[in-house]
Amino acid sequence: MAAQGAQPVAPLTSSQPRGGGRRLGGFIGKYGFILPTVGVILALSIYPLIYSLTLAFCSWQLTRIGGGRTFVGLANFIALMSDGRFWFSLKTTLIFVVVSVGVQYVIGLVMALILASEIRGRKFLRVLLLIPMMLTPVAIGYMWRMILNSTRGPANHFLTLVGLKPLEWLTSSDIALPSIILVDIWQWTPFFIVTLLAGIQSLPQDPYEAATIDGATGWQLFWYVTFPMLLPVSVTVIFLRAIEAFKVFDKIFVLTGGGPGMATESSTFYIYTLAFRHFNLGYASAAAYILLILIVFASTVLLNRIRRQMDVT
Amino acid sequence: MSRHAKSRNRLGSLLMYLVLIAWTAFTVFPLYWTVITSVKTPLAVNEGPFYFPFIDFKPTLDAWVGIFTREFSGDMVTRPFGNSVVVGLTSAVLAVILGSLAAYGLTRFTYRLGKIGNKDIAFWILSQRMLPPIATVIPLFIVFKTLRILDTRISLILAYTMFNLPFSVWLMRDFFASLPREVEECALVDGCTPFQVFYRIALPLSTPGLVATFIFCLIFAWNEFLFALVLTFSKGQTMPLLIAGQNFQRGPQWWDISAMALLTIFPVLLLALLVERYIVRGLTLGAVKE
Amino acid sequence: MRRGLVLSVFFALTIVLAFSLPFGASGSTKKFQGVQLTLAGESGLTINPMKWHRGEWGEMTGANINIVEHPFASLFEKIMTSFVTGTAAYDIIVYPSAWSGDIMGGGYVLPLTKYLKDNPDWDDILPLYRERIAAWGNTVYAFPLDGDSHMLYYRKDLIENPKYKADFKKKYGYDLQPPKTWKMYKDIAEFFTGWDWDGDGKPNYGVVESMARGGQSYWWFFSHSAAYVAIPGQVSLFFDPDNMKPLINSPGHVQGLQDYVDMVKYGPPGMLNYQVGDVRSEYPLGTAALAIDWGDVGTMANDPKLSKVVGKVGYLPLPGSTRVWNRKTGKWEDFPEINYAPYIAFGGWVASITKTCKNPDAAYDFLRYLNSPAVSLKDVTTGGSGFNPYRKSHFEAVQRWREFGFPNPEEYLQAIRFTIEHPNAQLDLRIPGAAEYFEVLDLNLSRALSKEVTPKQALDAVYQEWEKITNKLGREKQLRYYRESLGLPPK
Repeated sequence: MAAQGAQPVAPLTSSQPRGGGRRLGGFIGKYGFILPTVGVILALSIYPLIYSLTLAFCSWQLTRIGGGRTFVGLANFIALMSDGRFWFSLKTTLIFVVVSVGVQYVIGLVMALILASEIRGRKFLRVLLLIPMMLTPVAIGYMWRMILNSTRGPANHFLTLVGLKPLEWLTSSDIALPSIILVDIWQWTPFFIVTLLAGIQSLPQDPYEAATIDGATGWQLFWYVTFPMLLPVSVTVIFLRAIEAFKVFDKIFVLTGGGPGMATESSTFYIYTLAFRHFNLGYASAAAYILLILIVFASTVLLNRIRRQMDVT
Repeated sequence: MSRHAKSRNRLGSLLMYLVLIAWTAFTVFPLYWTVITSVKTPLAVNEGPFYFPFIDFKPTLDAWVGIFTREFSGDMVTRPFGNSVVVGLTSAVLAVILGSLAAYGLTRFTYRLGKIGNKDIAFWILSQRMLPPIATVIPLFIVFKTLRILDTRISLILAYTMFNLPFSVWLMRDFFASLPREVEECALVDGCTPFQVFYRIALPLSTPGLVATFIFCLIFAWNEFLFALVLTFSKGQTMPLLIAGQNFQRGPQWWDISAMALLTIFPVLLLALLVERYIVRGLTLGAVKE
Repeated sequence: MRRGLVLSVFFALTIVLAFSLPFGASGSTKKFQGVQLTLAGESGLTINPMKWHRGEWGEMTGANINIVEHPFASLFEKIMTSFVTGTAAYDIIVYPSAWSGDIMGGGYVLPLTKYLKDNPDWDDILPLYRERIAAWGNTVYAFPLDGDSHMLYYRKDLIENPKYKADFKKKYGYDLQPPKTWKMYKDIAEFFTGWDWDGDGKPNYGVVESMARGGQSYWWFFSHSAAYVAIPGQVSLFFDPDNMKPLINSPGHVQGLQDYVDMVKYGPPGMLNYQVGDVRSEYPLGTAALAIDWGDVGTMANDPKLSKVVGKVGYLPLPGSTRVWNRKTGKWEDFPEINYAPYIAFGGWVASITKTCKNPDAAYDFLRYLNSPAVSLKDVTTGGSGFNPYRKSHFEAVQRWREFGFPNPEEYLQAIRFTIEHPNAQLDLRIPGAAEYFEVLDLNLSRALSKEVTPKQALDAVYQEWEKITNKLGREKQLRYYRESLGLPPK
């Protein structure tokens, strides 16, 4: 079963006219299940978001003594329009997301196809290969910082062993972002491997048989049968991953601190700097809202996809 | 899977194994490197890189003994570790309790509020998972400041419960939807309240799901960094913050950092192996299944 | 239901852990029995003395100090947010005196006036640290723990090597000698880059300096530029003291940054990501001929456990320049003598007691212990403390330095004294918002160092950002603070 949401639900107790006390109990019972969750979300997510929307129209410098909030209308948003650092960080984030998720998908697909065939130790390999994605990103950051160290790290040692020039992995403004992407690829390619593998294993047999009878080669089988049938799963997992990748923060915090220059500064990192290093809460909230709108847009697309898939079944 | 094997020649098969070996090596090497670095002496790090214990360098447990016993760092490791454990477990328990309640409600009853129905509620809950955390952490920081709970475990427990809740609802929803309905209906007819049915029948039947959801929530809470960075200062700090605090001011003390990184990832590694069966379902919020 | 069991065990564990917090205290009666204090400082080097001494102090008093480490890049934000949010997270903070405008000026720490009356050791501290670094206005708010100024390190064995001397003279036309100007510094750095001059089979380099973003690079930058802009008797380093206009993009600063950027090619690979700690671990390994650092490389390079160059290191004040930019005339001027403007980079670590401290007496007792002549002498003469001399007695205890393994302590102490007693010594920026001004400077330095932009473009951008910050914080107020920090009368 691939790309399929929960089963359609036949309500148990849509309406059950019973005794008066019971009806009340039924009401409490019914809403008692869902209200705690709704309450928590309202209190800890929706209320804060509304609050920060009001902040986005204010100027609030946290460290200014005695300084409270002052309403400034759209000033924050107008200033953001010409804030080169913000747009640069957004560009950096987009490059990160597109390249990182793209490469992960390709490698993940290749690995999934390999693991879908009959090879020895498949089960063991599947477990082994999925380890990186569950590990603490901050710890991963340090592991790679050691590996990519210019003078004492094994990465440059390998390069010199095969006769290549050592690289300034984290310190050159051209290579620092690719290095962070490399670490993200290490961590998250397993996600594509296991999800696409699940997808491949649940594909129906018939089209393959038909195609083989028609004399299709391995490559043709992949390109005209496997890949199109895998497309719905692919798009869903790519979206899921892309939305997560958009929030990248901890790896950058540990690996480069946003440097050199602004080369690896993601939007989340920049907004963090605005809010908690410059203590400029109003401006930071406005910037966070722009990011929020972009992500809401992307996730609406994703959610609609999942929803359509649910409706089909 | 014979269809893939059929048209494959020897060369292809060789290539396949090469790719497989290369990727496996790439995956395993950083872990291996961290393990051996944690048993290196300063000299073995600085003169390095060395790869093979006993051959390249003489391993030592100094770093490990150090982070646990060195008089000055004893409580510096145990406190964040304790915080991580308490915050992770409590928030995961809360998320699972609230989440399974909501999930059960969403799969067993019909909620209507004007045009809004069950699915809309479910998707509204899921959409919370997609929000960029930086957008919620700024206002939460101010709210928690007003409540005077910054730098406490409570602040992190609340934040992590919140961010794990959509995940927990969706995963449990998936599990409840696949349960047979007959037993529950019989119990209702016999006069059980919906809550009794949930507690006595549905929950026990979906224990694997509960455990898997719980472990996922625990892992997410354990790994979280941004909220912990913003909401804590000293007493509430968790393991990721301890690690991030180890920079290279006294030169690269890689042996200590490696030991601490391993200490952080070891529990999640164990937990991840426990839920390995559910990983696809879990990480795609039930959108892809095996 | 095995899994159910697992779940209940987890749940039970949670509850036990959550409520089994309070630690038992033994019942003896020491001075501060059972007092718990939390101290925040920079992770790494400078937190070490606190770690070393909290145990023995705890033995004597019965109190316990919990230490929280933050990386340098987040130390300021953690301290400040804990203050402004009213989270009583820290009882003692250890911070660079450059932040005193925000921290002391913000009124978040206790004045020490009432304690200092009966502290006979106080006057032993050099006046610069006692009266200026540890104070805001005329009130003392902190204990200096560290006398900090940048200095220059060079390899004596290289400078004295006859073959290298001859080659150097052939190439540059003058004698190889310890560098007195930035021009000589650069020549020597270039000369010793990229070849194996110590015969260990690995290439060596000219310099090691810190350049990482978030790694304090701005202090290296000002060390490079101060001598180009600071004319005795003229305020020229940060702002125009008449109108608070930044001076940061003046040709002198641009020249300083150009010199700093040039160093990238004379350093080991990866130097762009060097933090302070990397300078201190690399130089003692014999990687480079020259280094700029606070006094720490000096102690670490003479510690046989850390160093391969014991006894080979020479010490000098920061180089000067004979060409100086005069901002009043708007021209480069040629000076007959070398113009020195040693930069008291950073000004040293100081420790304050927060207003929310639960037991100020205990906190004071601990800091006084750390700061006492005997304990502090141990720290400043030890590599790996990050602390440098700041008491008269530190400079007088030459024998102690020799015991520590310094072959030439007079030279080392002389270089430090030259710097902190120099009439044209430049103090760090100590006004509210200093950390914010330096954050944008840090970013733009990093962009210039990685050649994203030219030095001029980088500093022009800093000028714009500094103007924004000044306007945001209030120009009049900032000007008043700035003049106060320079010892000028209000306008």
